[in-house]
Amino acid sequence: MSIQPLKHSENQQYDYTKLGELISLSEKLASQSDFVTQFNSVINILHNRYSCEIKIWLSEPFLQLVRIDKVNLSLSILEQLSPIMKKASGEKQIIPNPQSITNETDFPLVLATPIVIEDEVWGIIQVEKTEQAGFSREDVEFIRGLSFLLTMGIDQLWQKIHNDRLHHSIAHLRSIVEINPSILSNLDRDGLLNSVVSLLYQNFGLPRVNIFTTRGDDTHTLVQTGISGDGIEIRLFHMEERGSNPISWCIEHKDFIVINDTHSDNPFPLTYFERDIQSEVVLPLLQGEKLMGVLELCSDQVNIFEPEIINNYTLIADTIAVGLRNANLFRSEHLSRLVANRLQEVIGTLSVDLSLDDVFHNFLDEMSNFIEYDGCAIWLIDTTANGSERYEVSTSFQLAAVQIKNSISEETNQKQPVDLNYVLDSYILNKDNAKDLFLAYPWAAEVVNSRVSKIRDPGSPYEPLGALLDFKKDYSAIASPLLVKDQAVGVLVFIHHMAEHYDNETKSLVSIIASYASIAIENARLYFVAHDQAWVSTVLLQVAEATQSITSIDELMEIVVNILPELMGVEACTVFLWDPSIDVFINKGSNGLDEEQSTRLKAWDISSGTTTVFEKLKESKGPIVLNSDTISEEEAVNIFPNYDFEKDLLILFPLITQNSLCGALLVDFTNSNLNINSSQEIWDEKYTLIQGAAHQAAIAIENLQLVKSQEEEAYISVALLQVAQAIVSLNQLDEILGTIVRITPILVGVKRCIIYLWDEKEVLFHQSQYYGFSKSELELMGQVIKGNEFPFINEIHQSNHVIYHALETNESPLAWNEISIGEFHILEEIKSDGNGDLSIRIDDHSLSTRERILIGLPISIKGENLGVMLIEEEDLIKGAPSQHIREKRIEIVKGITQQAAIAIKNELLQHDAVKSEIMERELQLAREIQAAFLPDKIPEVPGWDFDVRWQPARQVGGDFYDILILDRNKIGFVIADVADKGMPAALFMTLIRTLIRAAALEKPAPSSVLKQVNELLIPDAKNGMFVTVFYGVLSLESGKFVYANCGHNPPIFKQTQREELIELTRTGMALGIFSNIEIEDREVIINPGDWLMSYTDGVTEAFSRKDEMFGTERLFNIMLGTSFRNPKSLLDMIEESVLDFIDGADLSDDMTLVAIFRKNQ
Amino acid sequence: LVNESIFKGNTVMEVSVTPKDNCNIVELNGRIDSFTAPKLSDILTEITQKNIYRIILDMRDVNYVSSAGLRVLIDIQKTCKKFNQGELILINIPQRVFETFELAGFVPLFKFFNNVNSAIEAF
Repeated sequence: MSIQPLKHSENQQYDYTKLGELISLSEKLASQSDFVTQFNSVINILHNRYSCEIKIWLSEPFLQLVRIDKVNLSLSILEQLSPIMKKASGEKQIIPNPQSITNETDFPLVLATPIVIEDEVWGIIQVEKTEQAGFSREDVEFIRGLSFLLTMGIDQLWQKIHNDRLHHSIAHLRSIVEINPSILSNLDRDGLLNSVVSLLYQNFGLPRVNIFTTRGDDTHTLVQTGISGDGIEIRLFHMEERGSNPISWCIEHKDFIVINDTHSDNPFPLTYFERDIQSEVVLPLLQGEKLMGVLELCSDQVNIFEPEIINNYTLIADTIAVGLRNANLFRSEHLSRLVANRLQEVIGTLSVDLSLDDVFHNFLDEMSNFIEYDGCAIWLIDTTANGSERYEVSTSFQLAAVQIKNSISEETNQKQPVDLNYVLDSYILNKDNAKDLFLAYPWAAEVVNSRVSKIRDPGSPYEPLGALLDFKKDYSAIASPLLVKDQAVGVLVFIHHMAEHYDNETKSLVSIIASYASIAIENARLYFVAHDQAWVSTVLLQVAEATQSITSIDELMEIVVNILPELMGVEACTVFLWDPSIDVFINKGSNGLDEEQSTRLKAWDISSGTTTVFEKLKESKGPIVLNSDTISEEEAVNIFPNYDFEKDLLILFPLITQNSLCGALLVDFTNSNLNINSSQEIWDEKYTLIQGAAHQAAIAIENLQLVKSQEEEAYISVALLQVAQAIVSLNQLDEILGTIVRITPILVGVKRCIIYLWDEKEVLFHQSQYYGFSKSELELMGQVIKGNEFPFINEIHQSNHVIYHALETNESPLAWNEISIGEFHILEEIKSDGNGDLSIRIDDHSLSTRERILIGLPISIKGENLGVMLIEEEDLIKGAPSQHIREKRIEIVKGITQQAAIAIKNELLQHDAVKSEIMERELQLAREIQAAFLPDKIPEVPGWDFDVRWQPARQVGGDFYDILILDRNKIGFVIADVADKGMPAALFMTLIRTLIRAAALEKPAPSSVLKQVNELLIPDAKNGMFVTVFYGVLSLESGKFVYANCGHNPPIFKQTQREELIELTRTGMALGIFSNIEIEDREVIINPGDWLMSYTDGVTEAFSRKDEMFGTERLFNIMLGTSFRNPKSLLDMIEESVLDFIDGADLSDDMTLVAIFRKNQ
Repeated sequence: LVNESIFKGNTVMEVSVTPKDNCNIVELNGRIDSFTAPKLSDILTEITQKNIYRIILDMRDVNYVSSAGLRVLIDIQKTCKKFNQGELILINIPQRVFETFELAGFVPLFKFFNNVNSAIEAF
């Protein structure tokens, strides 16, 4: 039942030997996988066959595919098109048209053929005969064929490249998802950097990966951790002139820079780049606004760093920045904790048997574990030599302790060897020598004068040790002043022979050491003063002993007030503790006072600026006598009604450690042997004693606070580490976030914790993981929340600020969404938090005074807001809530939200990658299915001419056509459109096609066929799915065309006898909706010269860039024209017209056309 | 009251839902095509899931309905009419859009009116 294909009439004169040649050539070309070879052989064939001159113009993307330097031929590359090439480009076909060549005089000497893919001109080849006669029509056809082969080759290559890129990008993302957790889990900074560069190196096949990390605020000297074929190397990198290389550009602009071709597309001197590096990208490692360093990735190929890949690398850079921050935090906390512990032990050894110098010596010895040095020293101002003016630089300094590494002579860059023993002996034993040395090399003295720690610049004057050891001028040194009661008593110096060896981190460590050394000095001074009076020392000893084993400040205070009156023979005393964060003194206990007086003291409101005596204390940091100058009348009446300041002596002593006030001791000397009229001698004795006791108490407080803060600092590291581990060990986002909300309360002691995830597509928040809520609370709060329903979280999301709201004592979380804009306060702008320090802005005292607050933190990365975390925090410490603890807590939670953000971002990226991969695969499959079910050839029938067009949209609509050969005389035409897209449409289409084919064989009438199809379709058509079908049966001999149209766009019938067009309108409803629908048959007679053109809505509903629809009018106008001679040219015209109309926009739907033409006899 | 709008390229559709007398009036604006249709489907399904089956669709400002859009309306109509509980009535439909219904043969599936009151009376 088949009809043999007939030869196409126009091709009859064609020389088939050439066709054969073309076919064998195409086979030959197809076997060559390398495109350049294909290209070369086409050019070669042209050249050899016609001995012609070949000129070629290539579009930019094509040029990238074909490296012209590899095409080794006698052709010239044009920048400008010749007129004939322009014409070929404009018409997108070979010029001259072979149709126009009829006899030898028309043979052209020059012809131009375009390489057209998807309606875009990729190149034009011009062939010019130099000697013989012009190209015959066969030659032109042959060349056209060649260019077509070339086109196919390019298309294939392009698809392959595209495909490879897609796969590359997905593989890339996968690697990133794998790498990120291992970055976050590493808390050792050097280990982190090493592992990151190794991971990047291994996973992305880059020949060189570098990370440059800044040291503190210094962006001139960076530490480079790099890896290449030679292995990992670490060295210092000195920034040269700004903008002279990509690293400095990146540091300056805090933005990434891509150099896709170091040789052609590169604003920097080529000398910067290593040999073989063809392209590179440099990304900043940013923590907020602060630059932590840069990541440099180098490739030995050009154009490796595509925009989508850069995004992936940016994510890695963010992760590295967070990892670095965590590692830095951990490292500095860890170090200062160790230092503090060790030094406290050393200070503890101070006794009568151990001199201060010995303690210092041990001190320096101990420090070699923490700070690398060649030498270090403690210089003290010699008070014996110069009485009271002891902090003048002109006064003499003595070397209290010095340590010099023995190995120094061998490995340092000394100008000449120094005899160490001689040096040490002559300076330590001879104080005058030491003094002269100190004055001769004034750098350390400057530090004493300025009273701030300092790192030596390479060009600065020498300090004594460096000069003594004869170091080169660029050696490193750090000096920190030793301050007692705000007065400089000495200086601590570390030196190292290497240039720029010390950074800010070391500086802060040295400052800590210096402050401990100061404590030791002060202790020693007090100790030795006290030692003279046995009973004084007993007091101090008792206080010291009593305070040593105590772990809480309240307990300590109690002991202090209990011991003092008894030991010192005073009536009574009371102690106040100062909370600097809110500038308030709090009464912590009394002894020797009656109940009433204690209550009065407890009720005394001593906040900032309200109480003269405490203001004076803060100012002078010395004892203040309570009298009418220092106590207001109101206070005298309210707080001290039983005292007469004319007679009774009350003195307020400051509790001071390391030059900072930590509290006050109010001592009642009434009825003691001390009064206003006491002699200076008695006064001094008593005063010294109490001052010493106060000092001891202060040190105990300081120690306690230190222990507490160390615990907190260690806590931060541990908390962040735990979260990092959770992220590493879990794969599912829900599990990760679940762990985060459960860990957070355990780590920082909050009452409730909940995460809302932001859904960008749906523009709403989804309730995610939670802790501390009941099921019903969660339900009432809403699983899905629109921004306007919950102003609190919406504000966090919109502003990217940490905000808080003070809660009433029994406020339920159900009321949280009623918190309105005026009721919450900005705690912190994340943006301003550049250096990782907490920059809390307090709008309102409620943060420190309310017991319960609700804090909301954005979960964001790179300004992209992914969600919100709320914590309800109840201060567990009884009494005044401590702002300090809240700050720490927020800092921890902030770290946690950063990690949560990375986990969410990872998940989203992975999800997108998988989704786009699946979609891409599905689309491809749908397209294949669709194409597979379309007829592969159009029957050729005498007297008739048929043609079809089918152009699927990217999304794949549900268009299809079918041509059924029913018997020798009858052909069925189907055109249909399924109302769906993608895979479901493709599958539905195959179903309908099969149903129609089956029914058409049984039933002659189109209406009966479609009715049967409809009934069979209904069980499968879900969710309102329907299909419009036009089905007609053509009798070849008579031209009778019987059709049924079920809701399909009416085909257009053009008769030679009539001027107007006829639409073959609907005869029934679209299929798939209702059963038992009415469908009628209608018929028309197609006479010779008549046309029937059917189409789908992809044609008429094509939208232009201006949002106009192509419409039926334009289609009618084409049909009314007379310039087309056969179905092919008609459909070409329609297709071209639609594509012109949409002007490069995507087709929104498939476009299908079927044309029938009855030839004139 | 629900207000939503979606944009993508030149595809724009705005939807607002207002409850009135036992029914919901849904005002549409823009194009119902394969991009916006799923969103419209979600909004209408949300209404029927609240057991509201009397829906008036004001199509005054709709300038195009693709086959995907028709499909959504048919689907919702089927749901609304399922237990004789109500129906989807279209009002103020522009001629050009009406032709789309006409073309596919869907005019008999819906009632068309020129104002809200006639539609409410017709329930």
